[in-house]
Amino acid sequence: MPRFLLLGMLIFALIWIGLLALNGALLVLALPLVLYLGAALLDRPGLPQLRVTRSLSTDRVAQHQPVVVKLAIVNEGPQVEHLVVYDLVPEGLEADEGATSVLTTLAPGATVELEYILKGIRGVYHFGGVEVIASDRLGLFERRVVLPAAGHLMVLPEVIRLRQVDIRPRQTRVYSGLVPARQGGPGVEFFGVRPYQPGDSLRRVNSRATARSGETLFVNEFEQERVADVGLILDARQRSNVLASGGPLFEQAVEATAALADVFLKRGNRVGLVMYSAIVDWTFPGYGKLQRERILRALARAKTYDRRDVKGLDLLPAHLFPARSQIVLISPLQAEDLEMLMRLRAREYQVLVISPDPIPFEVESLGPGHDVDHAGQLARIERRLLFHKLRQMGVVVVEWQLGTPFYQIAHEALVRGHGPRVWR
Amino acid sequence: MTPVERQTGNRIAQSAGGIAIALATLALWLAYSAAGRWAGAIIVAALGLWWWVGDRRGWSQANHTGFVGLVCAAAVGLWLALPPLGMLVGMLLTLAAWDLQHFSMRLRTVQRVDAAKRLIRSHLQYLLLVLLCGAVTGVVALGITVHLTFGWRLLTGVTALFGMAYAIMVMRRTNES
Repeated sequence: MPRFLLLGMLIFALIWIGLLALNGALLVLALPLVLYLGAALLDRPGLPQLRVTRSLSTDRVAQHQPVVVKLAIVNEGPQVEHLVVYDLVPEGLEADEGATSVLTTLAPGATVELEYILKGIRGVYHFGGVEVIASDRLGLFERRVVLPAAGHLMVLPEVIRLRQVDIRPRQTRVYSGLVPARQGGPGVEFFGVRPYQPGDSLRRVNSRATARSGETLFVNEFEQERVADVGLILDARQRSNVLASGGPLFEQAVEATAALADVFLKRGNRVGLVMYSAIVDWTFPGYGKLQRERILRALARAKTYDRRDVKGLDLLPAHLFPARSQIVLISPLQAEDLEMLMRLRAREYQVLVISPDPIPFEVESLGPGHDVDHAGQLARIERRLLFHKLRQMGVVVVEWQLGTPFYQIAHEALVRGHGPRVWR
Repeated sequence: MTPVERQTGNRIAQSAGGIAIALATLALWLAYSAAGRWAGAIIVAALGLWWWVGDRRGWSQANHTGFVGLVCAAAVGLWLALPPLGMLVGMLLTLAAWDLQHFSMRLRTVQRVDAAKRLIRSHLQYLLLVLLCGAVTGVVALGITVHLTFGWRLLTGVTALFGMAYAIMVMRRTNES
C-alpha cells in the first residue's frame, strides 16, 4: 500500500472517530499526521526532466568477459530532492563491480554518473532503459518514469581452440588447402602410382613399380589437398535439450559448434551454419574471419524452439549445402532423425555426427529407482542401435560424454590416427 | 561515496529508526502502565517488539503494521482517558519511527548513495521541523476547547470525507503520472 494512502486513511479515521465520539483529543492526534502530509505535499516533486545517455566499452564480447557500462543522467528541470536511479540490466547479465542504482540529490543542470562492470552468458541483450524515481524529502510522493537509454550487447559463445579436425568430403573446392581431395597431384600423402610423363621429377620415380613392369617408368602420385565446403548443423530443438549439471546441453552443443566453425575456418574451408529448430536459421557459407564473426553472432542469438508437428529433421533444407560436401551435425539425436541422415548419405554428403549423450542427465533428473534404471538401459540400447545403423550407412558418429571436455573428444575422435575413425 | 560511507549512513538511519520505535513504545507503555492498564501496556510492548524485530529481519509489512498498531494504541489510549500529552508524544515518535524506517529502507535498496551524510542530515532536519510543528500545534490544540453542534460536526465530517477522498485521488494521480 502506498504510504500516502495509509497516512490519509489514518487521518480520516482519527477525524471521523473523534467527531463521532465527541473526543477532541483524537482530532489533536491527527494533527501531526496532517502536518506531515502537508509538508510532503509542499515538497512534492514535478515530473523529472532528465536526459540519460548510455555508453558501453564494447558492443560484442566473449562469454564472461567484462564490459564497462557508463550512464550519465543530466537534470534539465528543477532541483530534485531525492532521486533514485535504477539501471534495468537485462536478464542474463550480471553487474560484477560498481553500482547499478544510486540515490542522490540533483540540482538543475547537474549530472550524476553510474559506472559498472557487466558480465554475462551467451546471448543478445537490449537495454530497456533507466527507471527513475523522484520523491519529496519524506518519501511520500513519488514520480516514477522509465527513461530510454538504448544499448545493445552481444555476448558471443566461448570458442574452444581445436588444433585439428580431419574431414574427408567427396568433393572439395578448387583452392589449395588442407583437406585431402581424393585426386592425385601435389601433396604430402601417398595417393598412387602412374606412368611417367615428361616433366615429372625423377625423384618421384617408384623404382619397385618400375622394376615390376620392366618396360614403363612409374612415378609416385600424392593426394591433392584443397579447401572444402563444410555445413554445420546445430540441433536447436527444445526436445533435444536436457539440463545437464554443467548447464543446458544446448549450451555445450553451441560451444562445440563454435569450436568446429573456428577450426574449419582457420584451415581455410568455406563454412556455413544451420540452426535447426521450429525455424531454420541459415548463415550463408563463407571464408575467413568475417565468416567466423557471422557464425559466432548467429550462435550468440541461438535459442531452442519446438514444433509439435515436426519431430525429426524433416525440415532440414539439404539443398543449402553444396553437393557431396561435408556436413557436421551436432545433436543428441532422436530416433526420427535417421531418415533424414539416410537421405543426406544418399545424396553423397559426407556426414559427421557429434552427439552429446543426454541419457545420464535424464536419468539423474528423474532420480533413483529401478524403473528409471531400466528406462535408462533401454534408452542406451536404442541409442547404440541408432548409432550402429548410422555407422552402417557410412555416417561417422562421435559420442560425446559431457563429462569429457570437447577438445579432448575432438582430439581423440576427429584427428586421423588417434581414434576409431571410419573414413570412406 | 565509498560503500563504507553508505553503510555508515544506512546504519545511522536504521539506528535512529530503531531508537524512535523504542521511544514511541516506551512513551505509550508508560502512559498505559501509569494508568494501571496492564493489558494495554503489554499489547503496546508486543507491537513495538514486532515492529523492531520485523524491521531487523526485513519483513516487508512490519513498518506499516507497526505504525498503524501504535497509532491505534494511542487512539485507544485517548478513548480510555489516558493522559493526552503522553499519547501525543507517542504518536509523534511513532511517526518519526515510520518515516526513518522507510528512509533507511530506501538507503538499503540502492547500491550507491551520493553525499549520504548531507542527504541524511537534510532529511532529519526536515523531519524534526515537521515533528516540532506537530508537537507545538498539538499542545496548543489540547488547550483549546471548541463546542460543536451536531450540524457543525456533520459538516466537518462530510468536509473531511470529501477533502480526504479528493486529496487521495490527487495524490494517486500524481504518483501514477
